Amino acid sequence: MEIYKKSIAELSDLLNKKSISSVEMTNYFLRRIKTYDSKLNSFITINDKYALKKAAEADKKISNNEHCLLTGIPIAHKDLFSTKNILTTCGSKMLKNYKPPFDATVVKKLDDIGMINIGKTNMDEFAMGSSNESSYFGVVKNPWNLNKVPGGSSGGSAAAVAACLSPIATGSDTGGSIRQPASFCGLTGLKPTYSAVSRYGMIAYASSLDQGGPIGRSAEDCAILYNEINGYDPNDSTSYHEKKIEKIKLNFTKENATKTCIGIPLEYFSKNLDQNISDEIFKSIDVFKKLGFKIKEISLPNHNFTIPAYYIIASAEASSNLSRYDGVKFGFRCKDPKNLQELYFKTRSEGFGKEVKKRIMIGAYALSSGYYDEYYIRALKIRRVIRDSFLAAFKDVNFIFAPTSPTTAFNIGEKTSNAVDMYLSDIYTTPVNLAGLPALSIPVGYSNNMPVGLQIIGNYFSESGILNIAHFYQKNTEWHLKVPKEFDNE
Amino acid sequence: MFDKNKVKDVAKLAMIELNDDDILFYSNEIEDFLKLVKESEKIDLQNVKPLYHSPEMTLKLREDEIDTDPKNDGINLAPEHDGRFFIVPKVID
Repeated sequence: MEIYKKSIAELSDLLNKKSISSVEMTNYFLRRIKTYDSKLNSFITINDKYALKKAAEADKKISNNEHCLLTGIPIAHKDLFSTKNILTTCGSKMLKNYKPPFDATVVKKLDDIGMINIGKTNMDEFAMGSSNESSYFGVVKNPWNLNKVPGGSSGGSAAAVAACLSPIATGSDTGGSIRQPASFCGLTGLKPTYSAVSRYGMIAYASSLDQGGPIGRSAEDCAILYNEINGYDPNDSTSYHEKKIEKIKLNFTKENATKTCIGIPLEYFSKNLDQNISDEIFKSIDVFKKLGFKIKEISLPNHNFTIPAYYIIASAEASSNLSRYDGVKFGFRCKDPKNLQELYFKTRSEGFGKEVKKRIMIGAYALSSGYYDEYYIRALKIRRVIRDSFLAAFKDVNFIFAPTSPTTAFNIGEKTSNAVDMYLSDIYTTPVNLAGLPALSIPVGYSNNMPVGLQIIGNYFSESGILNIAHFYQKNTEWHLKVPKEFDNE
Repeated sequence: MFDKNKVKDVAKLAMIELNDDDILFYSNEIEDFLKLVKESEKIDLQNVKPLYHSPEMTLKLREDEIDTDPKNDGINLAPEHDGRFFIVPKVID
């Protein structure tokens, strides 16, 4: 029946018709994890018993007609979403034994409607990375080529969905951590508008940038999940409360397309971009043109200054957020400290990995007396310039198309010795986070047999439009249906 | 120049203990990053105000209520505690 390739709507249909029970479906995906994940290392924790118990409960809900589209469907959560009494490591030795006493709001919302949490996925330590090579639990591999990275920091979620070990997964995006791995693994990944999805229970990296969202096989699957996880949460004071976010309906027509103008920012197609990727992106733009969309060249000036601003702001916020890991309240504690000072220093030195320590130090430096204006305030001013340039562009166009990443997935180890090169791989995704805008990455082709992602950027709270045009494209193309050969069998 | 002494100063601020190899590593890494930051000095930021959050909106605060449910008591997660207090090494001899 090739259940592994089915969409969320198709899986839900099978459950409704009783062609399969949630227990059987959960067992099916757990078996796939056991068969294939030794090649990928995409999971840190597999919740066999918990998942099967929840699946039995979901089956009852379905029998009693108390279900929705997602009831009984398995999902994998990035290991920075707190899960009550289930290991939540954030990819770090610091939290290797941490079992939170509460669920993140995203996890709770999905649990309440009967989704099955089958496991927690691997990730860059504290979400700091673009390749999933900084996890304490080891490197994750890309299902399209096991010698390549899956992207990061939600690399485990992306690898798991690409290999069809889970129908869908959650991720988090601070500087591209949903979109870039989605692009590297041939998936669809949505970074919602900042504040649309509650951050409560998401282990914090950079609080003014972090945003949770879905990584799935199609825009339709992402829309179904997004509809359930967005909305105001009293536990997150930064969550959007001014009006209710409407449920997304995917009903875009050819007539809508003719009234939709897409902006192509020329600065995003400079010499930094791999030529093959540029070609694939323009081929996809031609498809949109044929579908009736208007295409217009636009300019987004100063976006080449985003990387320094992003890394200063994110590191500054990280240095503050990660000060809570002191060996006293929760998490790892070093052995036999002589005094309190030694407890702090040794716990943090032994508990954090190299990249995390570096970003904490960059952040502490940028916030320190004498450097605060030069680095931190300056970065916040660049943030305004970037945000304003987007808003100016949205006066002329409805959406902006850009590459998601300047390259396809690179080799494992290729960029670990060149941090600046690694940081530059986020050049097309970080501007969106600084501005707090929503954006989606969808697969649009291949370069050297590795997937290429197109990024669709919209104005605040335009997730419905973004997902509708992506779904419209996916109804007319098949890139999103491809499965890596090695994982394309039962 | 982000020299070794600067690394030591910042590591102290960040409460991270480093050995000599680490100090050399971070000196080079942070120096490379700051070169990238230097390039952004070309942008004119006169009359631009810092932007802390985007989208800009009002925050909705909730009542500051004490949760008395013992199941939510985070103290049980501490590496060392006596049920009421976190235990740390002696601060004053």
